[in-house]
Amino acid sequence: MEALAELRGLTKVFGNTLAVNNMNLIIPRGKIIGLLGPNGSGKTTLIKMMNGLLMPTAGTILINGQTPGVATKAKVAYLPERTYLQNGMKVCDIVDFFCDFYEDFDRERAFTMLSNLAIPFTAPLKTLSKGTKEKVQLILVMSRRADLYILDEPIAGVDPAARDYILRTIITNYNENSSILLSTHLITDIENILDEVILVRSGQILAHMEVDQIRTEYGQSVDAYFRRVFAC
Amino acid sequence: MLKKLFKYEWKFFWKVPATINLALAIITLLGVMFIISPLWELESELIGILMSTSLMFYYLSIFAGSIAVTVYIAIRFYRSAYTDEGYLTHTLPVTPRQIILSKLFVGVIWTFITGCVIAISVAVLIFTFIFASIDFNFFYEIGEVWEEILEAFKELGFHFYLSVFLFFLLYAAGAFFNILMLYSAVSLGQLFSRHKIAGAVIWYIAEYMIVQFGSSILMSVAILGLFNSMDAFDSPGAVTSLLFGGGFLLVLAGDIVLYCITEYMMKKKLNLD
Repeated sequence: MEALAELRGLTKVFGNTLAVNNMNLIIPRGKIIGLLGPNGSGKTTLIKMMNGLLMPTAGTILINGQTPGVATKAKVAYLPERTYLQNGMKVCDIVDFFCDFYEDFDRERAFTMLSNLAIPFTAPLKTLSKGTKEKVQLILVMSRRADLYILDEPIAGVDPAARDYILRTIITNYNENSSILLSTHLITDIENILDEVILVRSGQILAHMEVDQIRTEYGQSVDAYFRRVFAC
Repeated sequence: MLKKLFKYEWKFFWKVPATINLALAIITLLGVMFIISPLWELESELIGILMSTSLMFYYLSIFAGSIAVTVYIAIRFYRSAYTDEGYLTHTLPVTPRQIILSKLFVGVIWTFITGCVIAISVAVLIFTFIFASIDFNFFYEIGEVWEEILEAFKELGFHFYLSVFLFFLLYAAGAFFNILMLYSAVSLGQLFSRHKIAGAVIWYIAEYMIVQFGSSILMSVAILGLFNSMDAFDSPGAVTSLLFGGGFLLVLAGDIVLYCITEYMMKKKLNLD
């Protein structure tokens, strides 16, 4: 099957800092992949480049065989690490907004998830807590039937109960043709849902392997392996 | 998609400029009430002071209102394109051109609305003053002499309606130009790794100086050209039309340059922190 995303020689330089260094990567279809690495390793920079929010210094990114643009944005559902919603809007307004712009947005799925998490549809966003806003954002992203979901720290700001619900949502809301690239520091919470991990250090890929391989070859959990590899 | 972007941009944008224009309308109403009030019949020195203070307040209000709408256009563009909100704006399946045009059209429409509100406000106060202080039918008099005014324009070589049309074209191109100056400065400010707002202000000042310098030179060249061609003074109307038409084409060229800078920055140099 054709790769969902492919990065070739991807490089990003900020002034004198090499954030991403000649990165080559293939993201297959139908996988949940953990993008793991210590702070400042280049994970978010990589994610932003894949979403067209940062321009690479060198190299190419192909998603469904196309460089980031209108066509890829219609197929990539991105959850950034920060809140991008306008405080003046109501929850139902932002659902309408997503419905208008993304053909793959499933309104019913969004309202079901909002109900399950007891988030009022008519609440203005400015009245919601930071954690609830993050839940709303994640619901919006996971209500799309996208090819690639890129989630940057999706569970960092939410309570453990909601975390379980979100992880269940992630598992159930994707199909065999789509993949999820998930960046987080909370490895213990997510490692049970991961198929593969990509370990990143100093802007380079240290390893890209299946989770089962870590368990069988090294006899460790992903979290323990991460701690060993990135020990300070 | 442009239509949808325009719809949401309008929805997010309208409250602030509408409030500013409402405030201007209320100030105008207060001005009218002040003019028609019996205060003027009092013979006191205070009335003169009160009138000059009121005029000053009115002038400052109009100036502040106009500036506030312009500043809000720049803030809205900056926030939606280059802050956290930009994460949503730039991940929508739309082109940078659609993003810029939707914001530009909304900004220009509100600039026109504010311009109209200010023009109507000034006209209402002037006519109220005329009605309150002069005992004749002003509109009737104007109607009587209107044909004569048009005739006088024609004798000087002015085509009144053509001149008005060219003036509005120039005004429209100027409105686009002012907003695109803000957009391009905000976009160029993103080239700074830190203090991007300060960077945008520096770019705006640089653009403003270039525009002032360029327009001074063009104006000097145009005036020198007129002096060298004395025939031009035989037909001031034609010269005015030429200046308006030429001015429009120059401002239009400026619009295109500034738009291209903004789109290039958004397309090729986007770097959201």
